[in-house]
Amino acid sequence: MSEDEIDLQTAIADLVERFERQEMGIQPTSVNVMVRGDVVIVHLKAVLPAAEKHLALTERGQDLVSRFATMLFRGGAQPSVEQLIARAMDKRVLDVQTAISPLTGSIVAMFELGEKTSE
Amino acid sequence: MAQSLTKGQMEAEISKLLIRFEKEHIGRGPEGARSYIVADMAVVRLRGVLTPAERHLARDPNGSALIREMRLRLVEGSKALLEAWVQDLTGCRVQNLLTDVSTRTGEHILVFVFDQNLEDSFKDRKGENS
Repeated sequence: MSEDEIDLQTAIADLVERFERQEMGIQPTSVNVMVRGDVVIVHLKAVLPAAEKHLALTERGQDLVSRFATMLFRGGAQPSVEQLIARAMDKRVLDVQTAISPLTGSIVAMFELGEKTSE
Repeated sequence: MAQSLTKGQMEAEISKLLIRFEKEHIGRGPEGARSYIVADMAVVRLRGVLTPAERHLARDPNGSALIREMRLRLVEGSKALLEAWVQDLTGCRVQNLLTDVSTRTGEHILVFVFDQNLEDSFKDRKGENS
């Protein structure tokens, strides 16, 4: 892995961690970033508050926790992370897919990159 | 505990308890709280309950509805615990808990309805002391 890729991973991890702490009021337990070719994967782990854990005991509750976390992530962290990735990789972000576990509070976001923006 | 506090002190204790509940259980602490004991009710106003990300999301009607649903469901799921905490503090059984959240102002209102007139218990004690 190149130094640039390591720097990018660190920058993305810092950005996501800062967003979760300042904007969501949550302290993530870990943020891992992986760059593989034209794909950037962000894996964020956080401890769910007791009330959300309780809510996630039912299927309906799990659905609500998932929708809530997805909308917050997409509306909040995602645009900033997208910009950072696009700038650092010099590529357009074609698509973003997010998966959220209502049982663990874990979020996985996959950023799919396209052609170079400078071309 | 109810026996040793004035009405104002009890209102302050209820506010502290609700801030603790929001921080420890809901996971997001409010900016402030104000409580009022009125007859057989305790009305609690929590200010600034929304995180910056929630305030951003609340600009969208669907987002606003989702935040409200989430908040109300979180309290609903923790109702038994919260009622037990308030009962321990006030010495009164909670018969009903009514609650709502404004995504416009970021205020969360909770109304505890007790099985007896809590306010009168402070008036009685004032009479005894005078």
